[in-house]
Amino acid sequence: MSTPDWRDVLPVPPPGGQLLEAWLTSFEDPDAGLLVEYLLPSLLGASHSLSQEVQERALFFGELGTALERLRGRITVISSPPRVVRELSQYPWLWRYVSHFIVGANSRAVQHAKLWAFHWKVGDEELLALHVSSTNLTTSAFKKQIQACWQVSVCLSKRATVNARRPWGEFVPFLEALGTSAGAVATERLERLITLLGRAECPDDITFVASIPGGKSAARQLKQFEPSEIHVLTPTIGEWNDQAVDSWSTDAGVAPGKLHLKWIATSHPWAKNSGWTLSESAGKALEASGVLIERLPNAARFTEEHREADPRWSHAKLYLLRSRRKRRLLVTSANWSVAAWGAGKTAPHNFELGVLFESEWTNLESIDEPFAPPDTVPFYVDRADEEEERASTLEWAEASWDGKFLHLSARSLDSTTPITAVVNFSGGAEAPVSLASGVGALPWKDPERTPLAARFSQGGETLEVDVIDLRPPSDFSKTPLPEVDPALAKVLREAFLLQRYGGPVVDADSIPGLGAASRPIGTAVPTDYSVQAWLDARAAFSVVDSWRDALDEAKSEPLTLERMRQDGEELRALYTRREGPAASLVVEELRWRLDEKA
Amino acid sequence: MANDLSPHAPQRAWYFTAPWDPVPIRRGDALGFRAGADYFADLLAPGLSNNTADARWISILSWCLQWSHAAWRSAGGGDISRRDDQRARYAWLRPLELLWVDRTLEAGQDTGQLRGRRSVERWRKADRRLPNFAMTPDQFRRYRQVGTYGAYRVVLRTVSGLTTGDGWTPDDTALKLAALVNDTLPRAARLKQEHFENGTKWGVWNQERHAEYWVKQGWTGWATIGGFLPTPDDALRNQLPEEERHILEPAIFAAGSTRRVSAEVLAGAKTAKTHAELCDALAASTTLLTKIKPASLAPLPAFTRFADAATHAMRGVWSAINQDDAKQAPNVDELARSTEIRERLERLRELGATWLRAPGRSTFPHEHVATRLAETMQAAGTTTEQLRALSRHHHEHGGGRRWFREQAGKLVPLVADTGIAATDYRFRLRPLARLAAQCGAANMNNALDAISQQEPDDEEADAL
Repeated sequence: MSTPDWRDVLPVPPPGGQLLEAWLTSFEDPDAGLLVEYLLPSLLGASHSLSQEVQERALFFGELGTALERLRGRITVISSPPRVVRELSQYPWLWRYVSHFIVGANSRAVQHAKLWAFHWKVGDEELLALHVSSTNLTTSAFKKQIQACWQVSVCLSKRATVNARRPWGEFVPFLEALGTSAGAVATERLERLITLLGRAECPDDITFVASIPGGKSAARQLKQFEPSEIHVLTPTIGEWNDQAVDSWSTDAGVAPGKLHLKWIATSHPWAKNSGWTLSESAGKALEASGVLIERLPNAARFTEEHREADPRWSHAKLYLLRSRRKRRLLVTSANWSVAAWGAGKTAPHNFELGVLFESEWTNLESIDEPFAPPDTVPFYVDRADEEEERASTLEWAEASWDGKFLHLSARSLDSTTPITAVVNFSGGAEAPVSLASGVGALPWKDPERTPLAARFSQGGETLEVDVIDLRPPSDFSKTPLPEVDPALAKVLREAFLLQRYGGPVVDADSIPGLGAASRPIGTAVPTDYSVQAWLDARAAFSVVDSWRDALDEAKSEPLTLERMRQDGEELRALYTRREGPAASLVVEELRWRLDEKA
Repeated sequence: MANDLSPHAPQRAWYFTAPWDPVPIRRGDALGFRAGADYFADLLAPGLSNNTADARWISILSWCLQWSHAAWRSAGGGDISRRDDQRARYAWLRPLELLWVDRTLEAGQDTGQLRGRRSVERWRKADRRLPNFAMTPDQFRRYRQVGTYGAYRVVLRTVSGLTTGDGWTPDDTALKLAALVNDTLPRAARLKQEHFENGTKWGVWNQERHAEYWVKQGWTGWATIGGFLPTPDDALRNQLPEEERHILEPAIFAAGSTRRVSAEVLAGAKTAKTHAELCDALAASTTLLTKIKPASLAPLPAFTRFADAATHAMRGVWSAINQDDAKQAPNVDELARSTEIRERLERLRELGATWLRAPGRSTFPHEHVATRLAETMQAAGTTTEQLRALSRHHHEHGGGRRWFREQAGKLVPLVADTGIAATDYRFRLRPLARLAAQCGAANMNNALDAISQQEPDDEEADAL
């Protein structure tokens, strides 16, 4: 891993890979448009595209909706609490399928790590892919910024062992703390990831460097490498003072005079946007402490492929540790600030995650041009730090729905002012709820008008969160597919169900109402009825065999097993409506299998 | 470098992210009229799609289908009933589509329907060495829908004789076209069945190396120039060579077929100057009515005018919202004071009233969305109320990402720009007229003049 690659930001499945579970973290509120239109179709290997053709569009949402339904409870997004009024969401229904949690359940916290973890099934193998980067789940992060990423893919053994977790070092406590901070449901989700780490062999020449809010200064994790100097390239620099710099450098084991901060001049193209931030007071304090502030030339490029005409600005956070014999690079989410790292007795405020590894990449080190006023002047700007904490007493909230009740929880530093919430439902309805001692509940059973978001208020403070849908699969299946004509939803759902178990390919021609004659999905045009009956029977039993195999495979996973049983019930209902001896036999077979597995 | 992960070899990398050039998402149904427009399009031009713009591509794709079929079968393919089987089948076809784009560029032709052109140009600049024709994995995956085969799949599936009905297996007409295309190619670029029968290690190429197979072994002469190419833009009204027309015309415009009758009505509408006037002619045709009954085209003229007025009003509002970069959420009352917006909304209201009186409205299965907008516009007494009614309709009935939304008395933009979304609702008259002209079914010049107003040439051509 000496030199960096130049890769597409959008993650893709391994060849033949099927997504089993995903965990994604972001500082900023995740952009539902990015997920629905790009990220999830890519991860799911979708066959259809979001087109303006009505047929293709219906197939796209039918495919996406049914695929996400299969993965419900298996795609987890954790972010910071939104700091500003949230923008109107284009696809608010997404959060029915993808659980979105925020941190701060136990104490104030900022979620600034950018971790993507994907559990893949490829043939008989299982893989865990980890991506540690500076990439938020927003369109601007994908399109307008250059990110630095570290990625690994490891095969999973059949069983987990506690010992196998140890080499993952700070990564495991980081995940445990993140789960605790994001609430009980998130904790369960992250425990599954930790279990997978126990089934994977950690690469032996990497070290995770993690910050946990309220924990020890993360800079101490660097000291073991005995750095003689550290080169820092991050777009946001905290409000350093002499004491903080001294503490951080002591923690990291390197003198302030051996800290090289790479920074831009006022003439640099990146100074034109709001991405790079260093206040003049912090800049002066760093200089006074002996930190070397070195100019990043306007023409500097990260790799050969990085072109001058590239309009994006760097959001990468890189630290190069030079010791007597080695250079190590840290690819991380952490800007250089006390909030990200902590310093001395001051604990970090943020969740941050990075990976440190040996590297021969020297570009960062070789950038050492001095500023030469008045031609080149450091770019100083005073603006709100991107990690600046929400100055709110209402620090955390969660809303979840189990199909019977909507459960609301909130945590506030203000124990006297009452907390209320307004729940938004699909279709535009709203319902108020009052919380007592930080909790509240609302009876709600309507599967067609599902709760989407809850806006908590306390005095002048507000905090909006997406509702986490915890309904069992049988209840969830009563909710219509999103963005699809309700008249088509049922037939699309059945078509994709059959396709999932090896039935016919879903195409516009096979969907009545989308272009096909009203003939049951998966049956051919009858020409010779005896041959046709045999073909129908063979196709139907092939579907049942695939479903049974999936059921057997899911027996150790209660959530998946429940979903498979639900699929079985839906297949039985589908074939019950069909005529002919093949359908009757299939119904009989399914009934027997479902009773047997009950 | 592909961002793939092998199941057996643990892979590790660190990297910077390359510029992300996503396949654009078309946001073309701002008012929810698309289903209605498609309904009329299916009546008038069944079996075509909006992107069926060049009959020559039907010939070329027939050639691609024939030879990709040969390779796929030789590589062990046989069943295409399941999703994964169809993916495997398409993997052999996609490189041929893109090599035809490369071949066209190699010949110095840079217009015509060249889907994937941007990527192929990058690929050419890199000495044709980059994998997947210089597309990212996501672009390569999506090419099936936005590529040339995706644009013509409906035709290939529905026009009798092109395929056996599955969209993949070439039938008599496609085989004749394929033979014709092959015969026009220089000898070095022609393919023969024997190429697929001698000692190829198909197992190797089947491992996601389909493009490499065609370039290195299957069609090494693809860049030898000569013979048929996609039609350049300035020749789209010209007839194709006679031998090609003789195969295509009876397949696409069989005597007495709906497509033929629609094309003849369009050709006969000599006085029509606009798209709406062409719709008048179509709605007045008794021959066409006989072909499509019990459905009716009676509401088409009112529908198309109402839809155009609504799109025109939406464009006006959008333009007013985006006039000032610094202040992009103007007050509704303030917007309503704009003369231009007032005029556009008033026009929409008038045409809404016409729509509500339109003959045969109740026979139109998708009438409720248009009727809803017309009724709310009638009920809105002031420009401010009309603006609110339009905004609400857009939010409740529009498809895909919404352009703007009223929030606390202001119209807040929700997307960076609408781009192609601002195109009018159309009924596939342009592809129908173009194909009819190329096949020599009728003289379509007047109809094409009337149609070619604001419509973009190929809506998804620049996607990749």
